[in-house]
Amino acid sequence: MSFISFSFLFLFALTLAGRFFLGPTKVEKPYLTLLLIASLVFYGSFIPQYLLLLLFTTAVDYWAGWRMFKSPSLGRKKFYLCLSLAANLGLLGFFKYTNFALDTVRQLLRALRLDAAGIPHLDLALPIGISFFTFQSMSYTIDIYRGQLKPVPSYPRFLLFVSFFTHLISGPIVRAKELLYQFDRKRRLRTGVCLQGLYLMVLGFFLKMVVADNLAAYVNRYWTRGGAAEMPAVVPWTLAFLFSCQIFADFFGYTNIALGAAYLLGFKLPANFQSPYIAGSFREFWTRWHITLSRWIRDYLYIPLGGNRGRGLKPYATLLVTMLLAGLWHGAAFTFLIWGGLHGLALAVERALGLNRTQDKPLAVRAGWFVAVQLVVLAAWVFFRAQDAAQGFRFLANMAGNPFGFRYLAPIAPAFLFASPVLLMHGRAFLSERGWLKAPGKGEKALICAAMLYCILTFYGKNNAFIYFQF
Amino acid sequence: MRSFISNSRPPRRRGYGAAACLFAGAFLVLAAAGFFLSPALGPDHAWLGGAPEPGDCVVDEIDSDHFDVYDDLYYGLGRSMDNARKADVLLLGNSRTLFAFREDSVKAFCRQTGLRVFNLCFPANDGMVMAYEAILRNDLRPAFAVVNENQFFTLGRSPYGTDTAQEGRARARMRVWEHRLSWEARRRLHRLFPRFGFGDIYRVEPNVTYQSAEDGCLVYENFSAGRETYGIQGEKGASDLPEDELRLARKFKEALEERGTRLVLTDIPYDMESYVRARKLSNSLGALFLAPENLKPFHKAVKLARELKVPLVDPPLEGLRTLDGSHLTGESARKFADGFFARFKALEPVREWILKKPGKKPGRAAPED
Repeated sequence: MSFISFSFLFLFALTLAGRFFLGPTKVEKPYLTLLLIASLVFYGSFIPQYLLLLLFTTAVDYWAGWRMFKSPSLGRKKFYLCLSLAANLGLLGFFKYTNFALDTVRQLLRALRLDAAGIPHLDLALPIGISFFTFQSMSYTIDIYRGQLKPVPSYPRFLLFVSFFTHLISGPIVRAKELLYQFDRKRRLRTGVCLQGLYLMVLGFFLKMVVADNLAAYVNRYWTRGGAAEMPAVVPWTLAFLFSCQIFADFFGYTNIALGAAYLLGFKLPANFQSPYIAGSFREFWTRWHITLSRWIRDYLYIPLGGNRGRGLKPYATLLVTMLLAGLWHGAAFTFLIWGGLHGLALAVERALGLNRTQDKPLAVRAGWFVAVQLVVLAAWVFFRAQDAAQGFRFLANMAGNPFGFRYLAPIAPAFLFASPVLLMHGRAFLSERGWLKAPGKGEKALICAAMLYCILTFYGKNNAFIYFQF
Repeated sequence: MRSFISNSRPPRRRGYGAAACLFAGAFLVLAAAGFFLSPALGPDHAWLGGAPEPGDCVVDEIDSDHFDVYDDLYYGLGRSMDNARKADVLLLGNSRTLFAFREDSVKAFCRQTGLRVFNLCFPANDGMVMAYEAILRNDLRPAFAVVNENQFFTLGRSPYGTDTAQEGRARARMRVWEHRLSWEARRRLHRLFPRFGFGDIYRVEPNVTYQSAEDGCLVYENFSAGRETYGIQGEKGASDLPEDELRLARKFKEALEERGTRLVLTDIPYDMESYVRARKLSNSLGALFLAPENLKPFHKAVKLARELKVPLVDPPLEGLRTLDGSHLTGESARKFADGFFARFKALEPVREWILKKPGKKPGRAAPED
C-alpha cells in the first residue's frame, strides 16, 4: 500500500484514532500493539510472504544484540556481529544483487564468446524497502557492538522500531537511539504538534501528487529525446533539470508524509532533506540530500574504511569506494554505479582542490563552484534515470554539444510550472539561511497549506509509485 | 530575551484560531474562484460531464492501467463473472473486440435470439493465455467462443496480464477497491473542485472506458470525441500463418471443446497504413496509443479457420472507419457487429442452439460469404 492510496489513509486514520482513544500519551501498551499490527499489515500488503523475511532479520538482530551485550569477550561479540551482518547483507545481496551479478557474468562470457546458456536469471521479486530496513536493523547491532546502545528489552519493541510503517519503506533511516527512547517517553497530544504534522503531510502530498507526478508525466514522455541523435544540449539539460526536481519532490514528499504521520502518532523522525540544490559544495550536498543515508554511510562505512585518515591517495580512494557502494545501494545496475562513482570522483576532486569548505573563499570562487557543483549533480542524475549506461552517455554527449534548439522545448515547457514549487522552496531556504527572510509564521503557513490543499484536489497527476520504493 | 523585571505585560499566548480562519478563508476563495472561473475556460471544465453514472460498470482508466478490468475478469471479483457464467457466447480478443461489439448490437442480438453474450476481452492486447486462464478460473462453459484471431493465438501476456496473474486474489481485490473508491471520489470531487487542463499531458479528464458488468460490453468511452477517423482499406497484406500459431490455435480449440465450447473465428478489421499514420499523429500530439508496435497486417483468418475446421464469420469491410487506425468507431462497430451477428446466427450449430432456447426463433439466415 502506497502512501497515496485510500488503504493507507484508512490504516492511518485507524491508527490515529488509536492515538486518541488508546494511547493519549502514546506509551500505553495497547497503542504500541496497534502500531505494530498496523506496521505489519502495511508491509504485508505488498507481498505478504516477505513479512517472514522482515520477521527473520529482526529476530536475528534482536538475538544477536542480546548475545553481544551479554558476551564478555570481544571475539564473541565480533562473532555475533558478523552473524547479524551476514544475515542482513546476505538477504540484501541475494534479493537485490543476484540477478545483477548473474547478468554481468553472462554478458562477460558473451563478450568473450563463451557459452553463457547455463547462467540463469532468477525470478525474484525485490522485497519492498529491504535496503532501508536492513540498514536500520544493522545500525542497531553495530551500535550495541560499539557499546553505544543497550539492547531492547522485548522483541515486539524491536520489531516495531524496524517496521514502524511511517519510515519502513523509504526511510528516513532511523537509528535505534533516535527512536527507541521515544517508545517510553510520554507525550500528550498538543495542537501545535498535530497541526505541524498535518502541515507536513499536506506538503508531502502536494510535492508528490502535484509536483512529482506531473513532472514524471513530462519526463517519462520526453526522456528518450535527451539521448536522441543530434539533439541540442538544451533538451537533455532541461530534462535532467526536470528529473532533478521530480526526484526531489518525490522523495522529499514521501519523507514529509512520513514525518507528518509520525508526528501525529506521537513520534519524531529525523529530517532527510535540507534544500540540497542550494549546496555550495559536493560535501554540503551530501549533508542536505538524503541526510539519514549520508549519516549511515559516514558512520558505518566511510569512517570504518579509514575516512579521511591516511596518506596519499588513500582518503580519496576511500571516498570513491564509499560512493560507489552508496550508488550500488540505490540499485543493482551499472547506471547507479556510475552515478555513485561520479559523486565519489567529484568529492575527491573537491577535496584535492580544497573546495570542500568554501565559507572562507572569495565570493567569485564560491559562486563558480556552486554552479559547477549543481551542473555535475544534474549531469549525474541522468544516470540515475537512464535505462542503461549507453543512454546515459548519449545524454552526456548531447549535453556537451550544440546548445541551441529551443523549439524542441515547446512541448516540455508546461513542466516548468510544476517544477516552480521546488525552485521557490530552494529560493526561500537560501534567503532564510542567510537571515534575509524569516521562517514562515502561522498565518503564512495557513495560506500555503490552503493553496497546497487546493492544488492537491485539482492539479494532481497520474499516480506513480514513489521512486525510492524500488530501492 | 525578556527581562523578568520589565513592567510590560507578558505576551499573550496566541492560539491557532486566526490561522485556522485564514486557512479556511483562503481555501474557500480558491475553491470559489476555480468553481466560477472554470466554465469560462471551456466546455471541458465539467469532468466527464457527458459520462453516464457508472452504475454496474467496470471503469477502466486506460491512461493509467487496465487493472480494474483485468482483476475483475481474471479473478471474478464483481458481478461480471456471474453473468459470464450464464453466457452462451463469449467474445474473446483484445481491445478491438471491446470496441467492435458494443452494447447496443449485443443487446439487440440477445433480444432477438434469447442467447446471452459476454464480451470477455482483455483490452491490453492479451491473447489466449489470459482468456483461457479466466475461463478455467471462473469455470466458464459457454456454447460458443468467438475469437478475434488478431494477435490472439500466442503464449505472450501483456505487462498488465503478467502482473494480474502474479498478484493473487487478495491484492487484486484491494487494487479494485482502491480504483473504484478513487474513481468515485474524483467524480464527486470535481463537481465542486473542477480540474483545469493545459497542454497534451496535463489534461482535464482521464481517458476511460465503461464496461458493463452485465455483458462486458463497451457502454461509454471518452477519447474518440473530436478525433479524426480513418477509413479501412479492404486490401490487406499477404496472408501468412506460422506453424506455431496454428499449433496453439489447435490446442486452444481442443481445450475449448473439452469444455463443450465451439470455437468461431472472426477478424475485426483495421488497417496498417492508417494505424502507422495514427501512431505518428498520436506521438506528435502526445496522445495515448494503445496497440503495440509489432502488429502485423496479415489477413490470415481465412487460412486459420480452414486449418482448424471452424467457422469464420467475417462481415464485409466497406465503409468502416477506425477512430485511431485500430479501433472501430461507434457507427462502424454497429455496422460490423450487426453484420457479424446476422451471419453468426445463421451458422448451423448456432441455429440449433437458439432453437433449444424456449420461445425464440433463429430468424432468417443471412447470405453466406
